[in-house]
Amino acid sequence: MSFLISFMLLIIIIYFSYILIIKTVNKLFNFNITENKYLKIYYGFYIAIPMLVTFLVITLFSSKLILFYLGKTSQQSFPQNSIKSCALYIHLQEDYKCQILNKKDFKSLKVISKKYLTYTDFINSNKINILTLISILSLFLLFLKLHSLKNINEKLGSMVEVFLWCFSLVGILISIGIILSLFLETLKFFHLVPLKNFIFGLKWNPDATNNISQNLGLIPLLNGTILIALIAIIFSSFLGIFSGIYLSEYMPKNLQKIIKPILDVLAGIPTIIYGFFAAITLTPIIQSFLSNFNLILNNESSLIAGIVIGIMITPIITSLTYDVFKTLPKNIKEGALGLGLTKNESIRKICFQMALPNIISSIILAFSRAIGETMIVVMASGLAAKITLSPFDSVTTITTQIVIMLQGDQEFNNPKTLSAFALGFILFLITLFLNIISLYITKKYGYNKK
Amino acid sequence: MSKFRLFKEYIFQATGLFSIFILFFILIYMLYSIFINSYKAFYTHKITLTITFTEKMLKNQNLKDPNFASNILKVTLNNLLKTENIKTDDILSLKSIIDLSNLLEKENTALINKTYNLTFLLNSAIDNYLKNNISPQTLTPQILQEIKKLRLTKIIYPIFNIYFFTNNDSFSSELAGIKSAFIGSISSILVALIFSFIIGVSTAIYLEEFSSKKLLHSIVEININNLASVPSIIYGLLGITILQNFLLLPRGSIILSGILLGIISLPTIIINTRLALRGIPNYIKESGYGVGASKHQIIFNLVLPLALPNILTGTVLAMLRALGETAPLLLLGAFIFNTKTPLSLFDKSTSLPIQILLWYNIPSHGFLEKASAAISILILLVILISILTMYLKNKFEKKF
Repeated sequence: MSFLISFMLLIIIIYFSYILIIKTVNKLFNFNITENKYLKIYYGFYIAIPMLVTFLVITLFSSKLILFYLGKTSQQSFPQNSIKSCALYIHLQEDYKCQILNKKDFKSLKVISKKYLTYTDFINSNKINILTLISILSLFLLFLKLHSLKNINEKLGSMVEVFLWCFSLVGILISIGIILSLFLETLKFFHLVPLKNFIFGLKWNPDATNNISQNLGLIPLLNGTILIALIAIIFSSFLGIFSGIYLSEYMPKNLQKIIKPILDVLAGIPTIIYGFFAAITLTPIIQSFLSNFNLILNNESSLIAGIVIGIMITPIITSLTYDVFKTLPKNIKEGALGLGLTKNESIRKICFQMALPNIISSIILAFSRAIGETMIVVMASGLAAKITLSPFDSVTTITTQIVIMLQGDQEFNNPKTLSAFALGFILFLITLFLNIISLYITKKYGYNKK
Repeated sequence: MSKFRLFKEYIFQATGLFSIFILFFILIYMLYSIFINSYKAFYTHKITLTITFTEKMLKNQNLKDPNFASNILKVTLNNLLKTENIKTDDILSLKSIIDLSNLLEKENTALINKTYNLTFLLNSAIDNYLKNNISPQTLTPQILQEIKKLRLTKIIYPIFNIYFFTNNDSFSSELAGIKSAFIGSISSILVALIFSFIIGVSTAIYLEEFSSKKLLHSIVEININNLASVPSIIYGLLGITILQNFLLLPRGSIILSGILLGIISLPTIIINTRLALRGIPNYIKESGYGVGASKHQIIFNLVLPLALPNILTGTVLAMLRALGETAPLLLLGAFIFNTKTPLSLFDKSTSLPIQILLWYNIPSHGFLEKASAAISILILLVILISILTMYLKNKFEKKF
């Protein structure tokens, strides 16, 4: 809550300082500023940006900076957590508890954490003072620059550009963050478990108490993941392609206009709903159906998970196929009809050939969606890590194991927790590879309107 | 020969129609089965008890004591059922005792010599029996008989289950509700909206209007297209390492899940906004230059207002995706039994899909239909909002 209150205070201060500037400038220079909308924004930026930046730095990084400074200046180095918790103990006036954290150098730890406490107290109590100081400084700078405010529009333009450029860096930062965070944790994992054991291991048993590096093998998980994704693709590609073709070529236009948006909405239904449907409704139906043929289906099986993921990705394939068939030029279809082909012959022998690369790339895209799908698999496919090709058995997947490893307590020096990051890295590489292939196919062989 | 070709044509058309039919049949069946399961969660049973408070009853008693309220209820129930060995919680929910003791504390001595017709919630076993969820063998035959009688005389009657919307999660199925999950979902979506809309739209404007074809431009472009197709669980891993362990946002809090959902929906918003900006024809910008406007004036006064309907539609659809996102939040500690309503952004909270998963995992009766009901609310929310946005888009979109 203190965060929110200080943020509100900050906004109020910015507003009042803005009004102050306008009034003083009007009085000093006999100059009616409020007429120029852009000048207002420029002043606002001038005061608001330095204040916002300092505010964010103080709230997010102040304790880290202090710890860094203390680590540089003091002779002994302590772990940051122990300094923090010792400071908390001193704040609660229970100094003796610091001894638990570090028995040997307990006195120097106490001195350092007292310093830490005073610094943080100083910064917390003087937050508003620092901010006002900075606003006054930026006001002063603004007054110095007042004489060169003629080309205000150009200046504002360049300022806006810098602003937008900073935001567009966030996209890069996020992807760098994904790669870095996955990569660093994966490296930590491979210090504990050799790469060879992980990639070629045939056993997945993270709960094993001894010799864990022999029990973290990728192959069973990869088996389950690919089995489920293949079932999904087999189920959905036929349905998706045929319904896409029918929708674009045979359906009356009014119906097309209704059904296409419905497909888009269906593609956005949360996947947990599909998972619920798989576990509660579909499993009993298919179990009773298969029992007629003396086949036994587990309560959790790759068949059900595959079928439901297939249902989930069918709208994607349908709408992509629809889009490709809509972009094909009309004269080709009409020429084929003019030569005496029936409509289905023109579609099968001419249009389908032209659209095939795009359709294949859409199927690859759907395959990568199926591999990365989590909730359906968590609810419907089980936890048994087996190497099997039978669709009636329960299998486990990469995504399920990531959820299982990280759901509860997390210890970042345990191979069990770190294995989730290694699995995530593998998943990231697989999906990235598939996406690049699908992009390559559409770019090189696909039909484009241009 | 031509008949054969015509036959093939019919077969082809029939297969296409059949596959569309199958697709829609399965999807409609899915929604139907969930709605059918869910209706039981939307009503509950209440019992009307007539209690007369006498001076003798209230004299020398601690009115705040729940045991006293429980005793009163026990006596009334035994009078009603003409027995002596029925306990209060055999029939009534625990909440009814709390309700009664609140009433006693509030009214105090004003109650004396008055007769009240009070309604109380039944407990989950009897509620489930009346909804045909469990077999009658689980209840004692004596209670069963009396309940049947009371149901016929309408002393026990079904009523709309308002508690499903006003309560937080609970272990007993007659009291569990979606309030905290709903608030958590909506507030984290709002955080995500603020985060991703500002950053996404400004990135898209920069990429479309300001940057020339430079190195940075191409890197950002490739990045964003890749990010859009990364599985959402990998964003969960990012959230753990950067948001939770580096920026030290509290695990399971609204702000953590909100920012993560914002990051997930960022690429979609950027791509949609770029498409919307590209849809504005060049002559509009050129006419702006002709009048003497500068670049940022043209962008913020001409291009953005025209592209806004499409941008907003894309944003709303991305937010709906984020609303249903479950897996990354599971990793960030939102999978908790939460009986408190979150009051600030740093409070722990679940979200609607995670509440569904929690109820799905509880084996006792009555929770599966709660999960179905939560799902139907989620689906209705998603479908209604997307239909509304499509309608509004068609209304306000300007075509060139």
